[in-house]
Amino acid sequence: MQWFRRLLLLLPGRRQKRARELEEELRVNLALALDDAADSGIPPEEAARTARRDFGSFTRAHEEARAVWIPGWDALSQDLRVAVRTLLRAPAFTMVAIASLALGTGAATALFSLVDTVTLKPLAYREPGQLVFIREVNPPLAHIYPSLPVNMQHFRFWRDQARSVDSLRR
Amino acid sequence: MKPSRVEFLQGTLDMLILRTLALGPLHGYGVAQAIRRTTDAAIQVEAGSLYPALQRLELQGLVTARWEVSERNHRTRIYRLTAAGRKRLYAEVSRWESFVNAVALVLHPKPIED
Repeated sequence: MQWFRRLLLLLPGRRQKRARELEEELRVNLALALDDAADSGIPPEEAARTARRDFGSFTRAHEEARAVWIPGWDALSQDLRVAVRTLLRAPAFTMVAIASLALGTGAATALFSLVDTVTLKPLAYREPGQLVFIREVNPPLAHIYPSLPVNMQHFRFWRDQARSVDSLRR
Repeated sequence: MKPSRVEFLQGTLDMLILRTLALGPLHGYGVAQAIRRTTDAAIQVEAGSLYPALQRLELQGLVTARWEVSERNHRTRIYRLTAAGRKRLYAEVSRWESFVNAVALVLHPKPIED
């Protein structure tokens, strides 16, 4: 339940409303303290000063009470706002930064998808492990062509005679 | 002479607020004044500690707050202890008392009997 209440305070409108309420609450309570001081019989100026001192810092109270909602939120949103404003002040730099990030991300993605399909994923055939690549070796020509593409006649012969491709594999 | 300020142990302020609200609903300033009066001004809770603590207790569901018209026609938030708050108060008080007893044993040790 507590996390839900905190989560609701992430909504900017709600947080602003609560912040305004908190400010009003602090204001009224300070006014109550000053009223008491005025009734105390001490010279009014001194009484008001004492009351304000006892009450403590209004701004600090407001900040620290808001910090309870989502710890670190004020600092974080301030940092983000400064970051955005700085970027907007240097649009050329911002464009270059965004473009290089986009290119970098895109290139990395493209390269990964290539590597993924080529080497990581199994081939799109049944039993890809049984796929073989055949070349012919013609001993008299081996000094010029270590291996040659398979002659179509030879291939037909092998295909018809061989019981299984497995027996052709070394 | 101004009484020296008492530094709070972590969580003590929450317990004091819950105890004060157990006597009846109050606004923030009322809580601060009640604590100040009952401790003869030894404990003065500043707004910088009080309102964060009230926000924390409210988020934890230990107190509820409603805008109401208080004395002198000021509209402000009045805090009330919830059932969960009352339970937490009992737990905190017994924790505090066993802590105080333990500290007392260290400060004033019983003579050891052989």
